[in-house]
Amino acid sequence: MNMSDIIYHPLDANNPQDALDVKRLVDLDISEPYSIYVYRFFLSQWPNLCILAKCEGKTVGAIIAKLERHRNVRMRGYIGMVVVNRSYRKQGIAKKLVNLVIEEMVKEKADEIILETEVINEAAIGLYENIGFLRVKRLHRYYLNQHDAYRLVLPITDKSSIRSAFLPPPDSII
Amino acid sequence: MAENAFVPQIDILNTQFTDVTSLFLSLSASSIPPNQVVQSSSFALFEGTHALEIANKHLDTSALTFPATESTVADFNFNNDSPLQFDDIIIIVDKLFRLTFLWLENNQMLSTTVLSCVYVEKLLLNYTKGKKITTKQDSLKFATLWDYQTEEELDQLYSQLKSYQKEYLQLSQTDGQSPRARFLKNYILTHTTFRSLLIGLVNIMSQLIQLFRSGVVYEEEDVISQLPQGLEVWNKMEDSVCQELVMGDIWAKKVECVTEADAATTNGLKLELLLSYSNIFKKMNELTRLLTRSFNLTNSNNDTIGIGYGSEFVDNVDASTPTNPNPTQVNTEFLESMVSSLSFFESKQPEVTKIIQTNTNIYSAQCFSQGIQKRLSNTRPLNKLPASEDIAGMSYAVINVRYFKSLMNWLKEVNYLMANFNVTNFRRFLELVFWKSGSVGSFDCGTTWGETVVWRSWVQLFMIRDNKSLFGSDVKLCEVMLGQMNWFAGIESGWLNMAFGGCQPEHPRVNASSSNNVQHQGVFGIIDTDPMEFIQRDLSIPKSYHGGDAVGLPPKPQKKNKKKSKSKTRSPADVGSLSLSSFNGEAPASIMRSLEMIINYDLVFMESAKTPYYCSSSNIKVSHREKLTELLGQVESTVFEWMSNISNNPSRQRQILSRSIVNFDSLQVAAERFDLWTHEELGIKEYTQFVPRKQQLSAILRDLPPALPFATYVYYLKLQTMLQYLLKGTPLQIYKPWEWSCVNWYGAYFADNLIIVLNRMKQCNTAKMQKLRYKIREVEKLENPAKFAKLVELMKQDLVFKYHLSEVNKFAGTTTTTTSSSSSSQSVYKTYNHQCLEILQLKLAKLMKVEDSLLDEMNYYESLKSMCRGTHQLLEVYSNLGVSVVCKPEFTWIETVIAKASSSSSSSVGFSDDDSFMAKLFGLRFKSFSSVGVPDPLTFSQFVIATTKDQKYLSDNNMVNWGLLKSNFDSILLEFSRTKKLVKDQLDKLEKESSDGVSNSFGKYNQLTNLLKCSIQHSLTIFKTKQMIETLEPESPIMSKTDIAKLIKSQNYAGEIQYEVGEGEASWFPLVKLVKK
Ligand SMILES: CC(C)(COP(=O)(O)OP(=O)(O)OC[C@H]1O[C@@H](n2cnc3c(N)ncnc32)[C@H](O)[C@@H]1OP(=O)(O)O)[C@@H](O)C(=O)NCCC(=O)NCCS
Repeated sequence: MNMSDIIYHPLDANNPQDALDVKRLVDLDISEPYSIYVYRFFLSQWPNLCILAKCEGKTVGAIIAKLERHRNVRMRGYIGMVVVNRSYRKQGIAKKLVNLVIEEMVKEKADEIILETEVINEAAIGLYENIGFLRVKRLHRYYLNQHDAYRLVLPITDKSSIRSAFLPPPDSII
Repeated sequence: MAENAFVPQIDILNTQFTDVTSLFLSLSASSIPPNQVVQSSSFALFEGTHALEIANKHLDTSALTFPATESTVADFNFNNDSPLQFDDIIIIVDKLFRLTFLWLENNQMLSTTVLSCVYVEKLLLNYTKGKKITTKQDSLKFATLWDYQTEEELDQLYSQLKSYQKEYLQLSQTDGQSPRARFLKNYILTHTTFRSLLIGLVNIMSQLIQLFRSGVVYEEEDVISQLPQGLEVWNKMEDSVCQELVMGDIWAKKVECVTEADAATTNGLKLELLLSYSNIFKKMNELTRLLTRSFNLTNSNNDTIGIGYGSEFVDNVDASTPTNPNPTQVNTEFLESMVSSLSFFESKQPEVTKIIQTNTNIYSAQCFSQGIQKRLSNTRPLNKLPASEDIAGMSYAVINVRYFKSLMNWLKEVNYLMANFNVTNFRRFLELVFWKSGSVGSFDCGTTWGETVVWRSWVQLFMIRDNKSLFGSDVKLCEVMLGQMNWFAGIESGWLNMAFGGCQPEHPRVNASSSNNVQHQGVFGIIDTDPMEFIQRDLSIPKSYHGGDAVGLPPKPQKKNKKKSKSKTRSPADVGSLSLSSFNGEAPASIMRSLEMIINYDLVFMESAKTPYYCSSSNIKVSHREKLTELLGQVESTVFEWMSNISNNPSRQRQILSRSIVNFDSLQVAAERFDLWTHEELGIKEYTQFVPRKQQLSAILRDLPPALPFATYVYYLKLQTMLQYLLKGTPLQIYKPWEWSCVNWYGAYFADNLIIVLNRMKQCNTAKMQKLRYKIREVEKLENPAKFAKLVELMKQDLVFKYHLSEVNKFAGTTTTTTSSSSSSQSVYKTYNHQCLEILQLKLAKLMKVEDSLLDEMNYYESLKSMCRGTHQLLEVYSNLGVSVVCKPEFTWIETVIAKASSSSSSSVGFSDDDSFMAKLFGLRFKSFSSVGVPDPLTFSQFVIATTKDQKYLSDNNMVNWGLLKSNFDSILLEFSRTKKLVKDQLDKLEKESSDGVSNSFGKYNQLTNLLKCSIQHSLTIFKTKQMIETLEPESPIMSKTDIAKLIKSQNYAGEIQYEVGEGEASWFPLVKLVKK
């Protein structure tokens, strides 16, 4: 397989197979089991932030994310999950997916992008920290399997370095 | 992406359910358009992540199918072909006991540990259904023998159950016992002894769940949010547990007929094991009962004190004596007994293992299953049962150390504190509690492993009660904090008089105490007594100076306060100060009072020149009281949150510290406002340096910074919190190695500020000492009536003294002129004068002690500062020499993305000057400090400047100036040897203290030894590196970085620094080591 064989595109709302593919991929590889509600929640509201990686028509990687106002003071992007089919790993697919999502979020004026990952998930931590994500807190027994997690944050604007209680609400900024 | 959601508890078994599926499909579902996500304020993503989707095989445990063997176990009954024997019971209880503790810490859930045992499930179901004593059929399965106590009753039972006896008779064929005996033996074992042990075990669980539910353990702690529904029996069990256990013991003994001769046999041992379990289970309730017991930090019979920091304690009062409702010591007997039972298990481990290995009955192995996860309502997806090595790993030794010994040792500390309650001991005690609760152990299982959740929640609940008292005593948390504050900043301060004297009588503390002790006044009832008494423990001021008969302050000259206080009030000045009690009115009282006034000058302030009055509870203005009470309320809530943090896991503790920074920051603002108000409005003039009285009204005064004792102390707490928040990130592995440099650089800044603020406190203290010395000289002069006249002149300018001096003056005048009539008066005057001097000397001694404490604190922060500085510099050098693990990474991709976005949009204007991505990371990393007023948050460019300043050894083109690098190494070594020296001094002092039996300094001791270890390791690392580079013997003093990097590699060093995050809260510093590959 060649990296150029991989095609990346956002979720196609008109193609129900996309959503099914994403769910199948994630169910297979993510330690935390999620209900259909969780998928729908992300995919129906932020289809542009769900990006698929396809190789010869087969979905081999996907990322799911959302972007919302946090405490009414900053735009916060959140990466829900990213997963790459085992046989396609270590070829930069996840990196590309994350990059695409970040670019999209930055375009949509994200102030910061956050996510959580298990403290023992070296692959994911490496992936995000190489981009510039910083561990900001440790979350005790965060996951169902009882592992701790790190909250990782990627600062985009300086709003990310001010406590939200000290940020002016958006309407007061002209 | 998941957090534990709140799960409403429903009594599934007793609830009637209605199937609404068709209704839902026909009505609600039809109105939802396809591809639409239903959301409401009570249901969105968070709830969605916890939804258990029906028929989703990952989530719906009811859809699970178990292998055939599993379902046999699921149907497990107690009338199986092969009934349980003694061995089985030991095996099952042993496993359940370990599982209980595995549940608490090893990434396990209740349903995969204790509840995975079908016997437990059955028992709980019986209990839930209220079936304590069941029908004949049921009782065979799992009931109690409660009703069958006499031989006749047993005969009756035996005949009733004959139809079942076959299976019981299969056992013990050769032991020569009668069929009845054999039957009963097995029956009883299963139904009474085993049952009682299970109840005891479940009770442990139940006690712990109640403990966790008491509101101090957060849901994310997980231990409480994962109970399968339908087994809500926790609250119902407690009463009968001990009874049942006792009954179980009796029957077990009966059955085994253990005589003295038998005791050494295997059965004797097995019985002993069972009884030891039973003992532990019985004692469990004691632990939770302690949480509602009140202890006494004061001696209520001692009428000299209100709060009684200085009270004498009766030793070893039995906590369980009903005649002593408020004991002064915790009776730890029950814990000692639990610990010794555990030690017994520990010692008998080989025998237990043998029992397990030789046991052939399959049921003790098969009775643990995943079945409960399917059978009972379950809020979690299916989970695996713990691996057998995990169960074995939860050894009795581990359980004992982590759960029982740790609590026992802590209670010993509590008893020590209770018996020796004073400022220093309380501070040491707090250090210990914070140290223990915040300690981070290994990360083996992807989670932290510090003090257990049981320790954290129990200690918090025991120490800090709902009414914010300490150990349920009548001492409030806030009081001890103010006691601390007073020690460092308040002694001999007019502010303090204001704080402790001028308060709302409505305060609960006052109300609570006023009924039994009329002397209680002031905000915390500490009015005259608390701080001084607190301190007095350290000094043993003779009782005569604060005797209970102390008469209060002089009648107040101002008209507003005509009402005489009915009670015997004492001013703060009375403690360790002058009282009229020792005089019998030979000298006019007004004279004595005026003298008092002069001596206790600080405690006086002026309303106006004409109406000087004492700031005490009875005459302070209502508006002043309100101001103070409000402020102290704020202190209380801030301190409460700060102290309650001990119940949190280390990760959350750090988050709470971050919040405390904001709280302390606003408290500091309020405190400063208050300090300035007392300074400017109330005229309590205190400065950071001594101003002789005659100069006080001069203009220089305006330029002197006011002392601001309260704000200074709050600032000190805030800085401590900031430093802790920062350094605690290291053991939690929140920082990447490349960040350690700037974390330590920031740490040095906080430590430096702490030193500055402590120095300020010291200056104020010195000023007070100078003032006292000045006073001593003044009083000495007063002894000589001739000199006195001169002094009067000097003092005349002083408005405060005008009134009183005129009184004294009159008296002095009479004594000099009318010699005959006044000789006795004069001798009284002299005695009185001597007493004044003595008191002043004692006050001085107190302040000297304070100075000593302040110096200790300063030394501590000096050592932290040099450790931070050294570590920062060390990491910078390694980063510059290209040691990759600490090299600063580059994030070019994201930098470009952000740059592109900000150039294309004008609206996203940044707040800071430095817009590099590194600066953003810096800002994010230290976000918690961004809102703080003082000290100024540091910026990234400051970091860059500070760092490059130390890097003169770097020249262009990747070259290094060896000479300069060497001297850089030397200066780092110097920094660490400074740390070592400072730490060693402190350790020596602590050692001396503890050999004097003064205080337990375990918490501090650990912090210091860890600092010592790190500084030695870091010196070694630098030394090694220097030596290694020296082997290059450079011809030219300039060498290339690449050569050095190559050298490190060629010497077979990993080319990396191996780093270790040590154990305990004290390991705020990474251990940086150079290791051979
Ligand atoms: C994490 C995951 C998505 C990575 O997918 P991938 O396509 O193999 O990753 P990439 O090839 O794009 O690697 C990108 C970076 O991730 C890091 N990385 C990836 N796999 C790694 C591994 N096994 N160990 C350490 N780092 C790893 C590396 O830093 C890598 O950058 P580099 O190649 O420049 O060194 C993949 O392992 C996966 O699907 N895991 C299961 C699902 C999961 O854990 N998701 C994350 C939680 S939301």
